[in-house]
Amino acid sequence: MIQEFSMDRLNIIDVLPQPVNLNQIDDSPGPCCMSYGFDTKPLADSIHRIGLVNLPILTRKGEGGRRDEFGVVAGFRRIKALQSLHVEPFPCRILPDDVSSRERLLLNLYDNLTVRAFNPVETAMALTRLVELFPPEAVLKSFMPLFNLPSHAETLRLFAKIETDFEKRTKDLLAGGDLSMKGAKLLLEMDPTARQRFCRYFSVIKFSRNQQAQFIECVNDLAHIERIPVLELLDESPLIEIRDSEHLNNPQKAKSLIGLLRTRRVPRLVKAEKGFKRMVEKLKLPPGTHITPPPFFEGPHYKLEISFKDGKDLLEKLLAVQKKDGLPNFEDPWNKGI
Amino acid sequence: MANFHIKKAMVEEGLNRNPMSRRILARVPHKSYENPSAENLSGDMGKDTLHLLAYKGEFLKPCPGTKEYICCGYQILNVATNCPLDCSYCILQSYFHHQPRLRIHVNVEENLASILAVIDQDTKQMVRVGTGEFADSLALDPLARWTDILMPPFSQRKNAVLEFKTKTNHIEGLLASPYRDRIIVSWSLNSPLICATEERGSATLKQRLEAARRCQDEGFVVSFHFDPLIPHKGWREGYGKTIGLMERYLKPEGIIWISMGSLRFMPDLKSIIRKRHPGTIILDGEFITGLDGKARYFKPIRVELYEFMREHLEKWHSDLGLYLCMESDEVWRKSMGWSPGNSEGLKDFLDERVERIFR
Repeated sequence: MIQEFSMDRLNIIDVLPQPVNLNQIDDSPGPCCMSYGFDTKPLADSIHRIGLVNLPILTRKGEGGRRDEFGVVAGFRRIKALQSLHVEPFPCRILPDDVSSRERLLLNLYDNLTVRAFNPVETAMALTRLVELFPPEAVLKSFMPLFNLPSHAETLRLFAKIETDFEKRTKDLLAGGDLSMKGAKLLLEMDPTARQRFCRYFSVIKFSRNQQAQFIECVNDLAHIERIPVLELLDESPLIEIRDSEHLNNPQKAKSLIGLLRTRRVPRLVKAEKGFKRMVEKLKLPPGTHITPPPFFEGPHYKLEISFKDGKDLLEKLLAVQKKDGLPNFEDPWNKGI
Repeated sequence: MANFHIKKAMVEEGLNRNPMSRRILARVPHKSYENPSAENLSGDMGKDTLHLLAYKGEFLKPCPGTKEYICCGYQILNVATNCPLDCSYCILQSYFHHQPRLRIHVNVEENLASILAVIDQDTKQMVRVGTGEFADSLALDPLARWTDILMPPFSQRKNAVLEFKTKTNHIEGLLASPYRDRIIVSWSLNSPLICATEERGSATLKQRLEAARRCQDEGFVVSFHFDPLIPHKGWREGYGKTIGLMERYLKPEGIIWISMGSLRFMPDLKSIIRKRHPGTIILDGEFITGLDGKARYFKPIRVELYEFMREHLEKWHSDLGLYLCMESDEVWRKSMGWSPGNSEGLKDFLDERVERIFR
């Protein structure tokens, strides 16, 4: 399938390098660019040490433009790195005029795919550009697997929305890994103002992927249940105090926020969790002995875990557990009115 | 009286002359025809558009239960997918997200022999069949007349029952049929608030119960499904009121079973519900992730719901065939005071009721 979109007429190696100065190159990323949220420093270091291995690919500006002015087809990051090193002129490959937009895009795509991974914003940029120039079926079947994505129209729509709907700040967080794809999907369903308010939290606190989704869902659910706007909820002082606290570290902040919201969202479950904790504490189990409930108390069985050095140690701990008076009364915490 | 309108009909190529297609098309008023391949959907999810097609898969399939919870061993007769009603909690919103429109499988008649052959292959095995899993059984019956097609052969079999499950009062087809044996007419019920606010397009609670009474009067065995039970503000009073209405309208001896299940859904459905039903209250409850990966209420809440329903239904009549849909052995014991132990046990319980009621 991929061969269908290969370049029959042009072999890029046949295009001989030519020296180009920075002021001859359009400063904008251009319609083929698939780079977002990058750091030029590592690339600049590499060029500084071993020189420019892979040459940027340029195209002459439109028919009415000057013939010595160029647009970038591939190598925008490299050009930025060269700029930071004040290196010029540098060699580039300048495409013949009859190379089509499709071919230019493919050049950029394969030039990048072979040397680096795409962050989600870059993937969204690439897929959006591909959809503009290729039939949607081709994008689904031939190109999405190149990004390790399933060939689902739903997934393609998701990335298209990331490209079109997300504001710069949200894109920055997503490209930088501070916003997960799961979180991004949830934020896409919100209005831009609410999204921005969430981003204030995500730019300060590094949540785990699951925590982030839980945080968004809890806030969203509570806004519906309590009939208050998301913005208002996110601006409540207890939440802001945790976010901006100077005494809590990052994991503590994430945990405290989730804890606070869960107490409001699932009060009976939280009460049961606390009650269970108290019940276990009351048992005063020997060291190295733990009782854990089934996830969400849904399954029927609790688990007893004992760590021990040897058989004698195990026997001692088992006997100590057996002697616990409270054990026969150990049951689901809500049965005790907790 | 239907609370929905069919504006369009689409017929797949080669099916214009199909007898069922012709009958349906003759009954659709003010329709306009379109090519089914057309992408444009009129209305939300194409709920105002009939799509007549030949179903390529197996018509009779077991209900997709999960091994983690006790399942009743129901068989689904897949005569149609999607539903003109628009209940906020409906699982079909995500099941058939990519297959919109009211899809009627017009080749059911020509496949009837093979469907019945499955039932006839072991006459000692009771087969409980329903058409109400992927569509409402009776919502489109005035057009499709499944009652004409399916009631005669099922009525003649001693090892099968056919359950028409609905939230409508479209019982004309049933009443016009002379067949009663092995046919169960079933209504999905809820509290008055949930019926009125979350079951758009459905018959009112009173209309459903009136239809049930009419069916009982006409000699039909009936059943009811309190699924999904949804805890909401004043739910005890609400469900109590529904049970009170049942007492007023129905003869309990003619009820073969009443199932209960609480709201559960795959996580993907949540965003669809939020988008399609922004004012819904069904997502307000305390959900956890169940053993099957679906969101469901925290266990003590489910036990409380079922316990309340059982107590109140049993006060009315002690032999209503109460059972739980997709619940654990533990929840069964805590809320119902007994448990069938596993899916096989529940199947036996329900099969035994069939034997007893249709003796």
